[in-house]
Amino acid sequence: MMKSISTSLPDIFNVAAHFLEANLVPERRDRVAIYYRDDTYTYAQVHSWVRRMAKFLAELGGERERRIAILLPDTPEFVFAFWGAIWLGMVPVPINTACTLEDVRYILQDCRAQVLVTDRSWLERLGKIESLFLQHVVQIDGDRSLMSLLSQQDESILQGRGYANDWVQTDREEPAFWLYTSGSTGRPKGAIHLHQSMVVCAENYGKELVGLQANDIIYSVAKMPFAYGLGNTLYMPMSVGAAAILSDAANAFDIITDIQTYRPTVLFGIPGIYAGILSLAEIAPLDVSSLRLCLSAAEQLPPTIWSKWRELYGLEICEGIGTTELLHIFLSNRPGACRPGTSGRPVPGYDVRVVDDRGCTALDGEIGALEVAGESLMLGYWNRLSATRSALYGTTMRTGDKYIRDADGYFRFMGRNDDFFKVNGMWVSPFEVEDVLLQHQSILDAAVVPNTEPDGDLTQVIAYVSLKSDFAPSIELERSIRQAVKAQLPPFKVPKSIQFLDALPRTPTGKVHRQALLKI
Amino acid sequence: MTGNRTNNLTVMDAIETILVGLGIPEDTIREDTLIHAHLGLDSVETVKLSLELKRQFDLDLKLGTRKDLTLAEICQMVVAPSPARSA
Repeated sequence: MMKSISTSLPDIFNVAAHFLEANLVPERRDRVAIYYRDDTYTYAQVHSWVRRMAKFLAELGGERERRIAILLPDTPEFVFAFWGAIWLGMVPVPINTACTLEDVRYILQDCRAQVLVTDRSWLERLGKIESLFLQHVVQIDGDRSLMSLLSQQDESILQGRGYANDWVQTDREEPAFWLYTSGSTGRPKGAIHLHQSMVVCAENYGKELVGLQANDIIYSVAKMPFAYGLGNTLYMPMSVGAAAILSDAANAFDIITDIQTYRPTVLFGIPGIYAGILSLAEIAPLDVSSLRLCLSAAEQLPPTIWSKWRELYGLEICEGIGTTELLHIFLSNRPGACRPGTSGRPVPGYDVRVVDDRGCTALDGEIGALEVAGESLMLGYWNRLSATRSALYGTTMRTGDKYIRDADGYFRFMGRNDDFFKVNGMWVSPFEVEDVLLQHQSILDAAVVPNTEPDGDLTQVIAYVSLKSDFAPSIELERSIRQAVKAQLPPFKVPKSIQFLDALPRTPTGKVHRQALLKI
Repeated sequence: MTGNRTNNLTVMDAIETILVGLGIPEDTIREDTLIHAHLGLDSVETVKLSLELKRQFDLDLKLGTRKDLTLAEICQMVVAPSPARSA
């Protein structure tokens, strides 16, 4: 019988107040909670800024249960807006700043945000925002900065507004925040998470599996609008009174610099960054002397990278896997018990199974569909009933991944049930890339598949195309096609190689035979 | 002077070839092009560019986004390395 974390929480429960007030104890209040550029914020300061933010939002007219979109890089303002909104009973919706403009506009509409917190550069890009629901735009770097506005707020926010407590009396099972996930059906979907969910992940993964401690300094490559980054940077450090580094790092060089500057003890990375740092060992050597623990998620970590990292830096990388829908990691390798090339074993609190076509647990060593049950499961996708119904039953999620469990209980990724795949931890829809390819004047037919090198390299996008009769394959043509794709899609979706075929293999029903292409 | 200019052109050509190989259109590649602000290279592309500069010119160049560089500045580092670097 698994220990229930959610039922150990009171019914009236506000997760912002829960995390923030736990860190007001004398031994924690003056410890650093956040490192940001040359600034630090202690837990007592974070508590104060969050309450000021809540009051600011209340005075703006922010209403309980309504959404507040946060479109910001990882900054203190992001943190204060997120917790301040939850403190007030509002529902923050972080938006990934790597989203396309089109997706950002869609999310603002779809979540019906009442308030948007963002910065000048995004407002310039967004132009006029079409939304019936948006009432307030808070620009953090306006004529008066948000921090200067907050500095004039007093903290006793909600007294006299009919609330018994300083914070809004939310229920532990009510929506606390949403995270958008790019999924199989084109448009991003809003996964609704509850007040209790962050506590579940922090207890199960952060404390029990990883063993985070109050004296840790935590650095996450994934940014906060990603479920992985939100846990790593925002709530897991807070659950143990550790410090988090907020960074604008955009590539491996920035990360190497950050690690040298802030000297983190824990590195939450992704495979592409571990690979990048390794390949730069001569040009920009990494100082690992502060690190005690390296972790990886978001896509499969090739065993060659695991071994090279271990060889060069003497550290193992604990790989795991999670989903936005389950909020954080549910399968993970444990420190000291890593099995490279696997996603590890179930995180405490999660029931993880490989099932066959009939829904029965598959035998060890047999491939099947991965299903995960746990208390951090989302309520559902906003306004996507059929997607919710097909993803969830009971407390279980069908992840869409194919896995094998070995006799020792380690789970190994074997592919997807659909044709989607991840590059740098971000979903790639082959159909989206194919649509762009087909716009090129030379292309008759196109198929996009992931290519994992035989030596265990990282996943890359490979395109197979057949040409119209008046075109012939050439290096120039390949270059022209790649440039055309790059003009429309972010770099990680652009095919790293384009293979010309006379005709694409097709199944009897006329669909592209992707499995045949994977074997080319 | 003439030697340096020739070198600069050769180096610029080599950088252009690397960037075109990454899928960057030729017409966006100029001496005053900033590699991050204008080309928007992602982490993988930045690493590849850096490794090629190392391979072809033995240049150890850290291409962090917080200090953006123009292609001309990169050429200059290849042609006239700073004393600290060549020491």
